[in-house]
Amino acid sequence: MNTMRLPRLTYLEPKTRAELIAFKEAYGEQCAIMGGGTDLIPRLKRRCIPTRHLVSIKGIAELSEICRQEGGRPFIGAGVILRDVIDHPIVSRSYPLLARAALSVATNQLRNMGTLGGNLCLDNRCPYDGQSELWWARRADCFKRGGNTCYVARGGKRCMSRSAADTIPAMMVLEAEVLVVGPRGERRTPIEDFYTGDGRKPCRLGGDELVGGVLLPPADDGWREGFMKKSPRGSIDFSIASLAVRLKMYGGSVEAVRIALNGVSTRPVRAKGAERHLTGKDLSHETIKACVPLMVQAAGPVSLIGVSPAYRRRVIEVMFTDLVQHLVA
Amino acid sequence: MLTGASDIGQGSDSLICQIVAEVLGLPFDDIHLTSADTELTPPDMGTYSSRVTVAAGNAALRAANLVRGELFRVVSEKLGAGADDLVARDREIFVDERPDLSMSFSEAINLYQKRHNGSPLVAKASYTSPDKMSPTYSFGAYVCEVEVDLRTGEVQVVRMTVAHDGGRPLNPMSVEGQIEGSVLMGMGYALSEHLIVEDGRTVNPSFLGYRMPTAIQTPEIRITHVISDDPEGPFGAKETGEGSVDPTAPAIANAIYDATGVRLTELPITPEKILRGLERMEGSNGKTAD
Amino acid sequence: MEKRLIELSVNGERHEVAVKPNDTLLEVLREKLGLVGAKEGCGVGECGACTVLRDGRPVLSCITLAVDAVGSDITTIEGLSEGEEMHPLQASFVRHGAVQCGFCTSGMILTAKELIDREGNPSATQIREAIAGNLCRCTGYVKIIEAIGAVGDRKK
Repeated sequence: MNTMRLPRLTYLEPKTRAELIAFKEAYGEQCAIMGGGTDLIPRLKRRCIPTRHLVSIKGIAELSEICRQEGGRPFIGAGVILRDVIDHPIVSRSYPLLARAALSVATNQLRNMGTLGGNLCLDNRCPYDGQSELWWARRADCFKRGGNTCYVARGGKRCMSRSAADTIPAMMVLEAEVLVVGPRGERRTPIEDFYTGDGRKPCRLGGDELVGGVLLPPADDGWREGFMKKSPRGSIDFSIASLAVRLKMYGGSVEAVRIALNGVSTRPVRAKGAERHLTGKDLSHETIKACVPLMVQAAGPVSLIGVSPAYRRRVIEVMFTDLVQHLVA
Repeated sequence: MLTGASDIGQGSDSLICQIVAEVLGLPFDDIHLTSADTELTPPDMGTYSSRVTVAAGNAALRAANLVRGELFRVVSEKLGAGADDLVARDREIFVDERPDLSMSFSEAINLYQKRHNGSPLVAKASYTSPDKMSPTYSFGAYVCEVEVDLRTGEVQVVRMTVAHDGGRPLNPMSVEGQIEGSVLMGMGYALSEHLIVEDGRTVNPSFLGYRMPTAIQTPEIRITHVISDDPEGPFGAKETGEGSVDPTAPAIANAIYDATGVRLTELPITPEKILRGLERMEGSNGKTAD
Repeated sequence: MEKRLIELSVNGERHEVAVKPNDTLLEVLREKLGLVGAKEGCGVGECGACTVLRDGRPVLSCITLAVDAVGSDITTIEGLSEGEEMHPLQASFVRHGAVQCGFCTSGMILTAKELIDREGNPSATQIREAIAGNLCRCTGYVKIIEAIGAVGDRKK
């Protein structure tokens, strides 16, 4: 007899994209789309989310594959398991940054279960919101739970839960597009527009919409790129910060640069101020150092146990300096 | 062999069989052990306080010596030699330096039974510490080498060099296993483990939130067994489980002090605490820590 | 919540079991199939004690729905030995003293099996990263890493 039983559930296994969309339309916010279930199932066991209807994306072939689409752009279905993303020749050969980022997610076992779509849509988290039903008994609900308070930023006026998925910064600097599907058809949105910054509803999705996958740009090996994740014990922990940088150099100067961070705010961040500052400049120690305040501006008072916002800002500074110096070495 | 001692993985089952086998001169596999069965076995206080080797080991040693004593009595009479001249080895009981004067262990048992109206040879023994606190104490010298990133305060424990006086390592592999496990536990205690309670609620009631060390954090661990042959322990053995946790955290804290000049006594020593310590030093010196 | 009759392939055998949508693979393995090698350490996918192989890959059975495991080949620790003959990893764990309380062991060995099958002779770094999701409190991981490395060396 085990100690953690899931609540009563409905588990739906659509076989086609149309069926999937129909289920989502019928259930709306009452259902959760399930890939690997690696975040969903633990939350259900703790009974900290109200959903009881699960709709699996895994049986839908066209959303579980990596293939070339128009213009040679790869499409990675939302249902593709992270391990398969890492191992796929298209990714390992032409988009190693994404493979590197996916390798920093969680653990070996969880990378064999979780999907890219699941990581993309990973719910925001904080030390409090994911606690069990019993833990929350007789405690005022926070914003994310439908209440009026925040335990991360006491006295705060909005949800400060943290966006923490590690593949997102890589996809942001790759300027990927998210494919959103629903009953009214499909639409594409640049990944940096996909996140709301509202911890209660981090993804910009209608109630009847879901993520079909991501489209990567055509491969371009003119960029130097790097990814780094800092966390207490390695990939197993959620990040203090994860950082992706892509640089195009011309002569000794920066022709173009893309910088993205996650784990530092209520949404993933493109550090456009830092990008503007670096463009056209050489990458001297002074230039990089001057960039740092623009980088850390993005970091808000979001919470990871034992990591203060001030410490996080120092970590970002060190990560950015190290990563950029490594890229121009 | 019946013992109440509970093997939770530390190896007491093996150890008790080793002790009995050693005393009786039998191969390890000849000892059939039943342990920790409340319907069958005699009492044992439990597996904690690093007590089992001394407590249950000594009880087993005494019981085995009683069996040997009884057997030697009948064998010495039969062979016409003094009991003090007898040796038990390789399933034989023989006169020291007179291997021609011997009988097998089974023959000795049969002889005992013949002399005692067919009664089986049964011995029982117990052990209670002669001291209220502890029968004896282990000692150790633990040296820790760390690398600290002075920009982020991140600590990596590179190597633990351990000299542990557990009296005598009766099963060296088990002793190393205990030391290695205890070092990791001490490391977690020093650097990452923290049960955080706010308003009476535990904020991190999970393995993920509690942050115990994983395989990634394992340092190189070099172990020297210091053999002191403690008079109180069975074959000189003392303990190795808890005594290996204790020095580890202070050694790490001392190594961090050596590396950074920051003296921290509140655990866990997080990167952030090290950075704050470095900042305080900078503030009071007006210069960076070297 | 209706029970569904599903077929699971476990250790090369087909089993028909009646399950509810909220039954996990771990519960079905332990309670319906009597395969108690996989353990529940935390129940929420954080410790690795419930690790089984799914089509050869280590996954966490405590957060896998049984209905989701239909169509996959599941390998548990019981499926590793051939009769009385231990798998080389099992034998190596015993020889190196890598088993103390044993609770993490089945998960560790299955995770290691996939690593060795994939890499042949993994480095210590690769071993550590592969088993980072398998928590152990007894051994400090030292003899576990040695035991896995020894099997790798033999394959050289």
